[in-house]
Amino acid sequence: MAQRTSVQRPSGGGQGKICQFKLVLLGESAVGKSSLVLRFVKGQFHEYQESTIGAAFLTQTVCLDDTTVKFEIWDTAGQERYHSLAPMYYRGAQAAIVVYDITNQDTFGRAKTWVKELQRQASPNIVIALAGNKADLANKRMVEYEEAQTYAEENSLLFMETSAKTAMNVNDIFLAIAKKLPKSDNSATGSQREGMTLRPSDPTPGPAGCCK
Amino acid sequence: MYPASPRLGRAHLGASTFFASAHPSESCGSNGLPLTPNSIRIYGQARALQLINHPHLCSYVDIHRGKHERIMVIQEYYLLNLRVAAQKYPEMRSPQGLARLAHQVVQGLVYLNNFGTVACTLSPENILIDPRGQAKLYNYGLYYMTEAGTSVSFPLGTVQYTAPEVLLMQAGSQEGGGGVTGATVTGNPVWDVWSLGMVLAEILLGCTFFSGCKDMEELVGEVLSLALSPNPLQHLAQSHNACHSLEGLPGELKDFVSLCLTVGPSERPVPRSLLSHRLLQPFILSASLVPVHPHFPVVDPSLCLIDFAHFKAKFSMMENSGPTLTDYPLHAETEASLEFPKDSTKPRLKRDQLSERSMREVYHLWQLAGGNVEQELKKQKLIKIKPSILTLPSVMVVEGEVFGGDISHSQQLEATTIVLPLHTLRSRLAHIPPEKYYPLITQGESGTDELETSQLPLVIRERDVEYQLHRLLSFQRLLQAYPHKGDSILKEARKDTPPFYRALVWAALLNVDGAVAHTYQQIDKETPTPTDRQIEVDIPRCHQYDELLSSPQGHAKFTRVLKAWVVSHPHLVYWQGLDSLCAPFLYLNFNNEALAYSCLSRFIEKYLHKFFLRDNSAIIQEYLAKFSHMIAFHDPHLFNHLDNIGFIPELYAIPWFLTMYTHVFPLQKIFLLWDTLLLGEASLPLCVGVALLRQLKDRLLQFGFNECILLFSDMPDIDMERVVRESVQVFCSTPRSVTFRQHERPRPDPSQASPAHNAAQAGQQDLVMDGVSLPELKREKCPRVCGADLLELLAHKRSHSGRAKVLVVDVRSPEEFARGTLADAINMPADTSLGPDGTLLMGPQMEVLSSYRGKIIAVIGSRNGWDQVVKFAEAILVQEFPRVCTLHKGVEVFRASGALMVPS
Repeated sequence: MAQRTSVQRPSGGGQGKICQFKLVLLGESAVGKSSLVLRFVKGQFHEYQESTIGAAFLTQTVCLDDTTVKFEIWDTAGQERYHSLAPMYYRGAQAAIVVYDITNQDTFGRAKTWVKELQRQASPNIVIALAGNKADLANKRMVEYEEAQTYAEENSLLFMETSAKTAMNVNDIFLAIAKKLPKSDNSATGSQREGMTLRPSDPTPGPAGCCK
Repeated sequence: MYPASPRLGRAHLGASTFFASAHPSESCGSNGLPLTPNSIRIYGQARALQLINHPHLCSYVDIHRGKHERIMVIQEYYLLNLRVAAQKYPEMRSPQGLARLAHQVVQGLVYLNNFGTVACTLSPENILIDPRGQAKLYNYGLYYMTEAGTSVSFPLGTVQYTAPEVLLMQAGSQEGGGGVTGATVTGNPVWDVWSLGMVLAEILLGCTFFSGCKDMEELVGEVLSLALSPNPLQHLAQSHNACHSLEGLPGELKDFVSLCLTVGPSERPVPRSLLSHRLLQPFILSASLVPVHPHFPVVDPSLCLIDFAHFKAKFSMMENSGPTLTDYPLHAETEASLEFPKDSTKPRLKRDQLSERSMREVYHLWQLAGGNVEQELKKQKLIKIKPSILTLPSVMVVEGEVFGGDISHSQQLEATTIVLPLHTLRSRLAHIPPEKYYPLITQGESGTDELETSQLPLVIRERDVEYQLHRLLSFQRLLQAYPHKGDSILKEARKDTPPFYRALVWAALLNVDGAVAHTYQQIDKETPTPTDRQIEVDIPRCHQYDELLSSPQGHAKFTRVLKAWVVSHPHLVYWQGLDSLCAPFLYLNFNNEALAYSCLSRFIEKYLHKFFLRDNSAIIQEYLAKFSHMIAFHDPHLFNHLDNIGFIPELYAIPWFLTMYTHVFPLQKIFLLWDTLLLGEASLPLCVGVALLRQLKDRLLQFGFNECILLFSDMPDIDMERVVRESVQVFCSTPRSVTFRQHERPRPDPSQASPAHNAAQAGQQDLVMDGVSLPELKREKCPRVCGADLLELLAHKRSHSGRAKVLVVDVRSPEEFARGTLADAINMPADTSLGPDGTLLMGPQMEVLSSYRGKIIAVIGSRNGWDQVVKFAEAILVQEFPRVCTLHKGVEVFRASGALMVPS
């Protein structure tokens, strides 16, 4: 049921450029951040996905025309208290997915706060996507599609409603991000390369590089 | 355990089985999650039945889940039930006998009502008679565990004995698949009174009611017709041609039965008020009618005088050895030959020690001796195995619903109970002399020392019947003597913790004491708080592979314990991860929330002091910095690699420490780990972390950053026994000051403290470790050791003539060195030993240094030349010297102590 055709393991795409991007997931707890990543990376869904403490890390590669895009995904803890750790993960990220739960209005409010924080503090050209997750529970919807879409347009965010459970739009949202990310060779230089570090205080380049 | 599960005595362990009703596949609850299987609901709900302890109620020993929503229940069981007993023994059906029976049944019912439930299954088959003629209600927990029958598809009681209003109610609610509502249904106590009336009436009238009915419909009609009669007893007598039996009866008995058979539920008396009926006046209570809440520490409340009825009953029960029923049925295979020689009706004098043990203990041992309930049920054909080809569905629709392929869940409750054979267990334990069952704990007798098993690995010890029996015997006594015997518990727990008593041993190791239940009861666990939402979303994903923690009861208990902790610790807050931390305690103390709460609170105080502050970053950062130092100290090779690739503890170890590994491993592994963790100090978890990394060392060394972090995102399988063993080794080879943390809980008892503390008392403040600022901690790669620890290491060296444990490297200039240093120190001046890029240069002392590889290398220097000390230490760390540390606050700390001397 998952549309996995365009998602391949690293061994899949041999030719062309290889780009690496650091992507971070943010959002209130229990909106399905870890589930989205798990669906995207492993094609799995666990009803009782454990909560994330601190952060989790996973990678996945997608093929886009002749470019292989490797996502290094940081999946963060949702609880507000873990907020102070978040900058460590979104600093230097080229992309972010801000997730909310369409059955819970509060989580949408929290998503907006995250978007604001990213716009203020993350890299200036970060690609932000807004994901309204749990679309399979549409009969319990509390956040209207139009409302979220309008908000996304005003803030020039990518927007999709997703369902980690049914796999709806999960690969699509990652692919849409991959398309929007700059893949020219010069994106590997300059300011973007800096700040890819994972250490809050250390300026040396971290493991996440850009196009090679 | 407390209140203690009743001893086995002459009971059998009986097993019965039934199916919970299955949900239609793919059905989801309102939160989008799949509905909890009914068998899990039952499993969680039934746990509380183990608390029931009354002489007229058969104990619930255990419950298991099988495939296809099967439930297997193990209960105290006797071979004789009332139907058979009444036919066999005239004294049972005499008016006097019936009055006694009624009194005993009513007591059981009152206890159940006080417990908060009703039986709803009362019938002559469900009243067992023990060898002394005492009535014991059986299967009375079905109503409670199935939440008023909503999680099974069969009716609970036997129609003949069911009160008319219950039948009418069931007719109304039968449709529409139960189990979804989840409301706790308490039931009406008067239903059981009707059933008791019917049971008594049947014996009085000497017939079997409604035996002529052809089908269920007719049977229900007959029972309902009673409700239309002004005098059901008379009606029954007439319709069964037994009016003559009524005539000779004592008025009291007749009145009692008529009262029970009052048609209107609102006029019918509840069991409690029956107790004061004239018929029951001659009898005294067998035991307290108030359920005892589980408690710890253990003071046997049955010895307290608070409850006089109980006290009185205790003595009457003791003396109530009464005559044994003659020709009591014996189990076929039989243990009985051991107890009843053929020629005598009296049991032999030799006491069967096993029957003195509690039923739960016996069942535990039976399982260790290879017993398996499912196997027994299969053997006796209570579980029938069909070839799987026959169970395949014939049609399956897209939504996942299946048709055909009959798994044939019985629509009726299978009433058969099988007896679990104990002879294998008995023969395994036959050679153990009786005195071994009463170990003298005051003399430190543990019974296991002479067993060969005690030298074998833990997995074997945990599964060895004989070894575990001895462990249970010692621990039971020690736990009863807690807190007095706290030290002995610690000593014994160092060998191992028997899984059977783990909950209580842990509580003892955590020094839980005082009014545990009362404290918990006083905490407001109901009022909404801002943390509720977080708790609510975390619980349904916390260790949910476990059937107990995933049951609705489990969730409710989880919520209460967590809320209680949050409310009662106003200076601390709920951090995600607290749920995982609570899980092992809740799992172990499922029937004792108060103890789970106390253990959790104690645990956090000791191991996670200040971790749950609103702003805990200083505490966590310090912890992680110390962890990093520990890696460098014990495994420089690994440390250098991880340091080079930037794989810092901040990225992976926060859940390790914040949850003490409960978020990282499944419960069974946590038990193994915590059995040891709880014996140690607050620094032991750091050692566990080092042991974990070292177990994965081969992989980590090959991996780059991404692979390393992926490895920990999905923790690979870990040999926990090895981790435990190695973490203890790590702990023992780490000077205490290395793991010093300024945010650690101050050690409460200075008399037990390290030499460092003694030194402090002597006023030598400089020699002890104290706080180092976080930036400094993070800048330095090697840990600091305090003067007192270093002196102790050196003293140790002198007292043992063998190889030295520590090499002191003084990095000051030769002039300063010559003015006074520690004994046997070597001088490697930082100025000349280090190259401009900070690397170690070959020098005359290199050979000495190399010969100490593997020992502790303490780099000392002057307080003003601290940078040199750090640089030198890091230079030898790069050379992969293990156990490198630096002297806190410099060589100056020894000035006052007179430890410095001029090198020869």
